[in-house]
Amino acid sequence: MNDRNDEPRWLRLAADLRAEPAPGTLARVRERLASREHEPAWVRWLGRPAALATSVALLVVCAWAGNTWLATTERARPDGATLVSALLDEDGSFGLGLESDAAAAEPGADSGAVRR
Amino acid sequence: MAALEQLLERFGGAMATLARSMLRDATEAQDVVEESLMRAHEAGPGFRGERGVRTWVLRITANLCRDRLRRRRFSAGSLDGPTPIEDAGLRFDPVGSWDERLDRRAMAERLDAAIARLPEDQREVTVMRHRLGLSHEEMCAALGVPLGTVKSRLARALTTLRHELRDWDR
Repeated sequence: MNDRNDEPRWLRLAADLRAEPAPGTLARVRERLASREHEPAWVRWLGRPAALATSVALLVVCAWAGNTWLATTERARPDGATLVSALLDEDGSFGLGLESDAAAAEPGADSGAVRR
Repeated sequence: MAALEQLLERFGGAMATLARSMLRDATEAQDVVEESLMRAHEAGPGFRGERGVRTWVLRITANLCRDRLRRRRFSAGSLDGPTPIEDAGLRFDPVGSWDERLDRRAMAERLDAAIARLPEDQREVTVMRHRLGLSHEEMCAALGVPLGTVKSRLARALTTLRHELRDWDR
């Protein structure tokens, strides 16, 4: 109570303002409790803060699992091959339009090139 | 259900005073009081009586008030300024003697407006201490914070109130 000695006297006025629950509070609480009992347990659980925490935890777990799965799939491909690189490999040109030296020196008969 | 009636009868006033002082909205505060009673009723079987029923129910109410204030911040629905005591659902009910030459009600309203402008954590301890008359230990139990925190919040609140109401100290 010694703490009270340091407090200004006017602070006691704070206790002059009070409140009471509205009339009919008990009846309303009983009503709400009764209606809550009819709700399935999982619906009641959704209203609790734990539901939000669980949702966030699930999101984190899903993100982690997705990331792990993607990383595993990437690693499964030989040398990180993709469809584009596989097509380029088969073509042999690597998409640069290069041909062998001999083929480049002698145009084919049906190439339409003029010989001098 | 008899326990519910007892809870309301014994602590309903303190719960309503805390909720209305914190939320400054009679309707929302009433909803918090009802929700607190429901939670207390549902959690009743798990109550072990370590801290006393009053601090236990006030802790439930304080937590619900904090949730509502947080939600209000998210929805940008904060009140522009302290609402008058009637709008907040508070009632002027003088306690003890006072110098009759002073307008006690006007002073109480001005003090209430100053308390309403305090930051949430300071307002909470001020209301618990000076409006509900809780001891420091009871406040620690009701708020779940250490004694030092309660004391420092009270000291900061008092500094602000003294500054706002400095003409009263003369």
